[in-house]
Amino acid sequence: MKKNDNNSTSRFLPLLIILLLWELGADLSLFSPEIFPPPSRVLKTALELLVQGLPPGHGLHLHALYSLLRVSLGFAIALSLALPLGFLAGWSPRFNRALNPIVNLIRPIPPLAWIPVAVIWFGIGLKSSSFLIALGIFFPVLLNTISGVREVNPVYLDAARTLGAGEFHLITKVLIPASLPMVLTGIRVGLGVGWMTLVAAELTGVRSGYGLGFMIMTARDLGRVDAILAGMAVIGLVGFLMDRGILFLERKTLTTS
Amino acid sequence: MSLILENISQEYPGPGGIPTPALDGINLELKNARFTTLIGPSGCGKTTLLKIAAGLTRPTAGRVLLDGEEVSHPTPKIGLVFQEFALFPWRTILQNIEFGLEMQGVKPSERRKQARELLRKTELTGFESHFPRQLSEGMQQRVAIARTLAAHPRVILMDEPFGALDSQTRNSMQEFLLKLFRDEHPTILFVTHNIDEAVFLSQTVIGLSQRPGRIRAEFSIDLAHPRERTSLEFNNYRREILEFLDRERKG
Repeated sequence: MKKNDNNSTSRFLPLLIILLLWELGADLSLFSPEIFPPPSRVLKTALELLVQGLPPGHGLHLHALYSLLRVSLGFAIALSLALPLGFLAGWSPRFNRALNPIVNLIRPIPPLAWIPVAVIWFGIGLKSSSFLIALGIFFPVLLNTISGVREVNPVYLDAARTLGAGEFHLITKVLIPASLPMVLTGIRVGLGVGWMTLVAAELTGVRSGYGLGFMIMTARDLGRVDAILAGMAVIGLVGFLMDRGILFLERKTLTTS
Repeated sequence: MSLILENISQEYPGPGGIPTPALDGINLELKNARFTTLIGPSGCGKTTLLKIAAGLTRPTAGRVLLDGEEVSHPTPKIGLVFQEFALFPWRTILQNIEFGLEMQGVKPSERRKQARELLRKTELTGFESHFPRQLSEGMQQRVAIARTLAAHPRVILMDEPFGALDSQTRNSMQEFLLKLFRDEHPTILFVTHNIDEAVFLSQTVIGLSQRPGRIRAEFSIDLAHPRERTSLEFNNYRREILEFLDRERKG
C-alpha cells in the first residue's frame, strides 16, 4: 500500500512542479496575471464559475453537463453504426472490400472540416454537434472493430464449430467476446477524438447557451483569460476521466482474455 | 459407430496456379471404441486429414461418412482436440467445458452438472472459476479434452494434442488419456509424429507417406496395458515404425 502511494506521488510530482513554477512566475510578476493567470487564480475562477456562471446564471457544471450530453448522443450514434458495420466487415471479406474505398475516402477528412456542412444541414445546436462528434468517434471504432474481428484466432472458430456452434453463436459467443479488447481500444480512441471534436463544434456556437466550448468563447469575448483556462482545465479533466473509465473496462476484459 | 474416410484427396492451389496435392486417395475406417493413430513425416497432411474428418475442410475428392451419413460440415458428433488447446480465454474453465452443451440448448443447471462431472474425471475439480491462462499447459489440454467430451461426440479426433507439452507432462497426459479410454471407451483417431507416443497409446498405427499423404502401412500394436516403454516388445514396435518412417522420408 505504502509503495503504491509513493508511486502515485512520484507520478504526479512533475505536474506539481510545473504548476508550482507557474504560480511562482506569476507571484514574481514574470508575466501579467491578466494574460497568463496563475493556477490558484484559475482554480478560484472555476469555483466562482460554478456558483455565478458565465454568462451569469450559466454554471460551469451545466456547461460540462451539456457537453457530456452532446458527446453521449454522438457516442451512441457512432457506436450503433460503427459496431454492426465493423463486425460485418470483419466477418465478411466481400463486405469489407465494398466498404473499404468509402471509408478510406471519408476518413481523412477531419471532423472539423464537416462543420460548415453540418451547420447548413442540421443548423446550430444539438443535432449538428452530435453529428460532428459521431463522425469523430465513428472511424476509430469502425477500424478497430474490423481488425479486432479479423484478428480473432481462427482456431477458436474451428473449436466452436466442432462443438456445434452455428453462424449466430459463432458471432455472439466467439467473435464478439474474442474481439472485445480491441473494440474497446477503438472506443477509447474514438471517445478521445469525439471529445476534442465536441469542443471545436461548440466553439462555432450553440443554441442552448451551454457547453464548455461555448463558455470559452464567451470568456474570450469578455477578455477573461482565467475563465478560458478554467474551461480548458475542465475539458482536460473530463476527457481524462472518460479515458480512465474506458481503460478500466479494457483492463477488466483483458484480465479475462 | 463407424467413421469412414472414403477415397479422400486434397489439393491446394500452388505457385503458378498448379494445384499441389496434399492427400491422395485416403481410405480409412475407424472401428468402434478403438484407438487409432496416424503417424507420418511432418508435412504429410495429417492435420488436413483430421480437419476433413471433422467436416471443417471439404476435400477435393472423396467423402467422410459417419454411421453412413455424409459429413459435410462440422458436427458435435465428431469432436476435435487441437494441439494449441483452443480454449476460449474469455470463459472460465467451467464455461469452456459447458460450451458444447450450451450450443445444444441444454439448460444451465443440467450442463453445470455434466461439466462438474467431467471436471472430476479430468482431475480439475477446484479450477471451475479459473481462466485458461491461469492453468498449466497440461491442465489446459485436459480442459480441452473435457470440453470435447462434454458435447458427447461419437468419435474424438486429436491433432497432436500433446505436441506442445514438455516430455514429462506429455507422458502423464498419455497415461491420463489411456485411463480415460479405458473408462469411457471412446473411438479415437489420434495424430502424432512421435513414435513412442503412438506405440504407447494405440491399438492400430496407420503410417502415412510423405506429401501427398497416402496410407502406406498399418501396424497392430498387440501389447497389454500398461505398456512398458523400455520393454523389448515395445522397442520392436518402435523400431518397425521408425524404419518405416525412414523409408518414407528417403522416398
